[in-house]
Amino acid sequence: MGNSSEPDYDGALNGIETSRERMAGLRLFGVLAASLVVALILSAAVCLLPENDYQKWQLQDPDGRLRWIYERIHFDPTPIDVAIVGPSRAQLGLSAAAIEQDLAQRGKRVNVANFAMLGSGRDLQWAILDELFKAKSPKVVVLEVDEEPYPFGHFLFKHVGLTEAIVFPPSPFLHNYLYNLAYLPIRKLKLFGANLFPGLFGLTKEFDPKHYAENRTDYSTSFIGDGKLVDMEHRVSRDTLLAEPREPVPRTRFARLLTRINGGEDHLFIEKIAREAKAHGTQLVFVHLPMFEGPRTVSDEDFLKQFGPVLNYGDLAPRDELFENWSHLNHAGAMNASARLADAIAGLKL
Amino acid sequence: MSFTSPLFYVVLVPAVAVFYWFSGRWRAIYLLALSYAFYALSSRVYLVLLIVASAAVYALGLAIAKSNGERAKQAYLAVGVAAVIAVIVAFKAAGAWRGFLLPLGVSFYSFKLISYLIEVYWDDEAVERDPIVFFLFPAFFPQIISGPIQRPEPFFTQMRAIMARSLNADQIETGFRFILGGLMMKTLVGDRLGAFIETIDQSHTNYSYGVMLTTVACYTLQLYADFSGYTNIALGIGKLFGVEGPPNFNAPFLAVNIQDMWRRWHMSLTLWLTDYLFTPLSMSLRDYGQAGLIGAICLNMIIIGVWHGFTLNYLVFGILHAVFLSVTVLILGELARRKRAAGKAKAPPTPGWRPPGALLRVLGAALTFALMSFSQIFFHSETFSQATSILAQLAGAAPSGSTGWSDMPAYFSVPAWICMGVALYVGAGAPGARGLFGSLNRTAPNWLQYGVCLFLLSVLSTEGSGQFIYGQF
Repeated sequence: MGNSSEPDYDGALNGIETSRERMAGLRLFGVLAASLVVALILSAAVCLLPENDYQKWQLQDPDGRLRWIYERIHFDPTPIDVAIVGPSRAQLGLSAAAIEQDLAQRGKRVNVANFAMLGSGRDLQWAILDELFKAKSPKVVVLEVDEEPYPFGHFLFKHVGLTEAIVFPPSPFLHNYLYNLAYLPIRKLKLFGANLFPGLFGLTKEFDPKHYAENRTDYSTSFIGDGKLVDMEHRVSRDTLLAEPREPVPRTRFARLLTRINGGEDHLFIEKIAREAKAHGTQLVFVHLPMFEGPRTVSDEDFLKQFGPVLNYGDLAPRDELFENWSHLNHAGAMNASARLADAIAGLKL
Repeated sequence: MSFTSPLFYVVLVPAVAVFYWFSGRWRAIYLLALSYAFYALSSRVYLVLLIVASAAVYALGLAIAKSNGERAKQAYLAVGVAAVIAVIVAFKAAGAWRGFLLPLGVSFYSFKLISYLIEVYWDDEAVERDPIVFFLFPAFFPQIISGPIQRPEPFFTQMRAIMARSLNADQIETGFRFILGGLMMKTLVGDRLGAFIETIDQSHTNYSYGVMLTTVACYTLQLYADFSGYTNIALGIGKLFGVEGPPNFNAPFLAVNIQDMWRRWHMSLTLWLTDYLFTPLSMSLRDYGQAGLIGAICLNMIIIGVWHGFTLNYLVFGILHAVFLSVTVLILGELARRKRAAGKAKAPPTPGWRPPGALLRVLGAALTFALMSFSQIFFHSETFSQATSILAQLAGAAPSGSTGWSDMPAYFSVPAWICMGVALYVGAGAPGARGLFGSLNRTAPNWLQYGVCLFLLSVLSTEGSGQFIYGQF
């Protein structure tokens, strides 16, 4: 009887212990959450730092091509009437000089610039064209399209994309969105430092005409890439081309899911390009350069046709004499494709 | 999944929360499942090997503890140790000669299993009967990639304690701090030094003698930054789950001789070998006097060398350290003998100038660092010919290139020098850091310090960080 009226000391002590642990746990959670918030605030604050655009286009540029593109657009007074953008298939497979010459023979004096570069991803091509529209008024923009739209962004977009374009992309459900966003503070900090100490970061602020003039602009003839000679004149046998290991575009489940949600990064940026082109009165032309013995059709041709004509050179696919390797045309192939493109451009109202 | 990947931490945080949501024995079961899942991400086939090896050692441990006769105990021990060593040897041989990929952490969990068998052989009470707790010992995921090599008894004791107690907020916060510090050391210092070394390695003959000499010093600094960074991350993750692991480094660049260095460098491996190999060996060879001691040292160091891999480079690394250590032990023994003799004779101090103790310590530390870096030429080089080519350049037998520090772009050389300074400073025990952090703690709350560290990690990490040097062993 007496025991039942005694206070429950053990229970009370346990209760105090439990509430103390709960408080400690909450305090810990608060500390960790606050540290995350601090890191995020600092990262956001860094994103407000100014950046020098010229230095931005040199930030990650192993072969100097991005710098050359920026210089061609902003420092070279020669107008640009036709601009070509796309991956390396277009960089090696279309010759700006050959197209210019071909059109000149037809009495059309136009300036062609090939801004295609290594790697797929339409976001970078949009960034290049966006920069182009700021300074020049191209009449025609040629976009190379593959058999299947590439489901990811370009690995270099995070270096040159506009801050607003990285933070507020056409859809938040982009495959590279977080990857690009996470890199933004790093880029901003580097460019801020480079603006103050260009020599320390190896990013120049001064345009050097001599350096610009030394750039290779046409890749349809032999060149040195990654320390190796890429012989564009050499005839590669059919067996060698067939034996080359092909790198398929990775089709991850995540990429497929995102494509289902947002229609695919490629289409989102093509729509963006088409809007800007329309605003500047520029005509869009799509060109398909095939892989050796690859598909001869463009899977999203109907989508592309709403923005401009689709020039499908898939018939070149079985002709081994036109290929440098399984995915790139050689000099003969580039001359063939360039002649056909010049022919198509000649038919446009320039 | 790498400990440096942001995705790893995105998964780790809820995993820790779920761990504390469980109570009692379920925590150990959950942690075992988590450890096996982590291992399965690397290889499902080798997960089977880990489970089979654990099961075999568990059974042998019970058999040793149950046996009454000494001969039966010895037989079980011999079978167990031989089987585990055979697994390591087979994979290391296949790795060296056939380019076979080693199972993740095989060297480290094998050492744990061997130590368990020996401990049970020495003392029946050391046997662990709870299979969940036992299987967790070799598989514990924070330690499986590259250690530190924890002993069985402290691990089992802690696991039983974790099953009984609730969340320890201070331990978790300390773990978080360890992880931050480790990540900074690994990604901001080690990886940057790694990138610098990789560039020089590509054409080391183009670089000047001074650059090559500094690069060789960088081998040691990078290894320290990488491995101590990893160790802190591993210890920190262990703390999040309530497990305190053994330290691996204790200011190794303060070591005044090679013997001292090995007491401060990769301590969990050195102590393991001292307890289970060197001490029993030197005891059995004590009748041979100093020759026996030197024999035990040589065998121990050569085993440390080839444990890293069955290549000529690692063998030379082991032999070099065997020589350095033997000479050091002989000199120290002689000095001690002279001191004792002088003490007995009570001779007056010799007149004239004697170098102060501090200067001797600095010279000793510099010489030790130089010897360590010299041996790192073999440890670091991918092939024996690469190592001899670097040696020839350093010895003046092969010409050096003309590219000096002043010819390198500042964005390449300046970060390398900063990282070298940081690695040396931290490796020398970070003198003055305690006072600095003490005053920082008074002015800036912890959350602010952690936030700034997280920010620095996010903006200063190099792309492609992730691989740990010791992950390959």
